[in-house]
Amino acid sequence: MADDGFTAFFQDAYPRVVGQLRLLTGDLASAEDAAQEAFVRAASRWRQVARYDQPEAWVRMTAFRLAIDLLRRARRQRGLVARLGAHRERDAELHPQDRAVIEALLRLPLPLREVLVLHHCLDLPVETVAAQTGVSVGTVKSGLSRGRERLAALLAPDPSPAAPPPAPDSEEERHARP
Amino acid sequence: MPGHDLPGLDERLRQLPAALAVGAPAGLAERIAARGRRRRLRRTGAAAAVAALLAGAVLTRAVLGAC
Repeated sequence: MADDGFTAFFQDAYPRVVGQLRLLTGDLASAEDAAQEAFVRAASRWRQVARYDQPEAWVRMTAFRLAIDLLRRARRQRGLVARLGAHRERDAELHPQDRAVIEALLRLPLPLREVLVLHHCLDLPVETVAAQTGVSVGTVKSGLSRGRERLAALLAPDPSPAAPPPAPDSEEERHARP
Repeated sequence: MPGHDLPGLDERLRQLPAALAVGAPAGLAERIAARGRRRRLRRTGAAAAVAALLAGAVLTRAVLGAC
């Protein structure tokens, strides 16, 4: 049965979307779950999504929202959080420097991690990040500044004891947005 | 800011998504497309059922009003 290009779109975009989601979720299984659900939603309204300028951007935004919902639900269920952190065995192929950056990213509060991933990893403009996350441009810029500072501190060879890394479950993260 | 501009951090961040990319398993595209089709059919079916119920209600009201 003809699928109007969905299969080709999926084959091309799926690896990228999963790679981007792994930066947010920290594990492959959750990234694949969110990506697959987003692609199912795209397939269910493919005639409409295919007409968008960037169908992949629609899928990515949907997948990020799903992943964030998943992470927030998981945080409320500590047992699941432990399981989410236990799926890293397939990252063995990563360069040690990349792994260090990912580990540092995963220690950031979720709102800061989200804006950092969208802007610095995906190269999206601040305005696009603001639209995707539903906050103002100023809030995104502030989150980027704080997130970058914390990330650099976590990656610094000799981090200052005066600036301990924030717990991912900090008070700040419990607030809705960066 | 101390540590704010770690050398090479921007470049490493940009390279991460590609480093973490994972190819789709064989047959996944077809399964996803099929799930999408089923979901669309369910949505269409539900919308048709609601439309039929509304039409029935309007018809019943018209018939009762004419009596």
